Amino acid sequence: MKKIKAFVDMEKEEAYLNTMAQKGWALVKYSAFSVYTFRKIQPTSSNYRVDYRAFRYKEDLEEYKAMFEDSGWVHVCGSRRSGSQYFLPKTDATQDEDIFSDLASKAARYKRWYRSALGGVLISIPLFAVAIANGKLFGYSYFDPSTWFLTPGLWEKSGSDFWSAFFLELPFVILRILPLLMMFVGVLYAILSVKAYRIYKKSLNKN
Amino acid sequence: MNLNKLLPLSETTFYIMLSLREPLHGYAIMQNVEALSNGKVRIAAGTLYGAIENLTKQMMIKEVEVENQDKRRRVYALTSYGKKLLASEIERLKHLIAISSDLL
Repeated sequence: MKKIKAFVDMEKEEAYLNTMAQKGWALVKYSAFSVYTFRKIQPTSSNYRVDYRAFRYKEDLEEYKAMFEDSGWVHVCGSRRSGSQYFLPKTDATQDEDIFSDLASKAARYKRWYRSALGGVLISIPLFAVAIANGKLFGYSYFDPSTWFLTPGLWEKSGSDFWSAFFLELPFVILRILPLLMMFVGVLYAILSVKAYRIYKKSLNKN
Repeated sequence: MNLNKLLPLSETTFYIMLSLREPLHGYAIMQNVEALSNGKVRIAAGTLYGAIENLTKQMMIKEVEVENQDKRRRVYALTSYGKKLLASEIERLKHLIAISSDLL
């Protein structure tokens, strides 16, 4: 079973995965665009733990995984570039434990999160500038969808004439407005990183 | 490098650095810290990984080559900066103990 869910708050994400396990669904994989893949299991109470960390080299991820495995955790999923890393207790010793033993390091996962999200925002800024320049150059406005189509007289056509011309141009339109879509992603990243930053500050000041 | 900026060390950092007078890999650090503290300080994996990363960036510890090394378990040890930092932290703590023993 696949589910799409977006979490910034990793404690809520952990609680969600524990609830799913209680209902008989174990996490198999987390993939791009927040897709969680689950498989059917016997309902069980779990202690999922989430870290956020991306690695430059595969060897770095391997060392990280070994450190967790040695100390009683199973690395459920997470790749070099996925960011989110998911863990479950391997033994009874870690059944009620956390993967962090102090507040500062537990909060630092949000710092890594918002830093990588800010990377997404920075990439989207020049793309947006290119998009505006392109629009000026080719005479279409991002704020008026009817100008995205450049086929002469398209909007005066009707019936199958219209639809065939419409779909013929649609792929080019999508390419044309791609920078706009990227900008939306950039704005989304900006909102999410502000949220992650707030959680970071809040979790640093707990207790 | 101004080492005093890094003082005082957190308890976790102190125990990790104290353990790395000799080369150890991640899990061995955890075990050593637990033993040194009579089971009171148990560093979790996520915290240790972050601490090793920070100490490496600050050049207080570095990865070292050892014989029969397991590729997945990198071994770390104090650098000369790290040794100096640890020594000045111990001096600082000694001073605190000395003045409080005099006063109480």
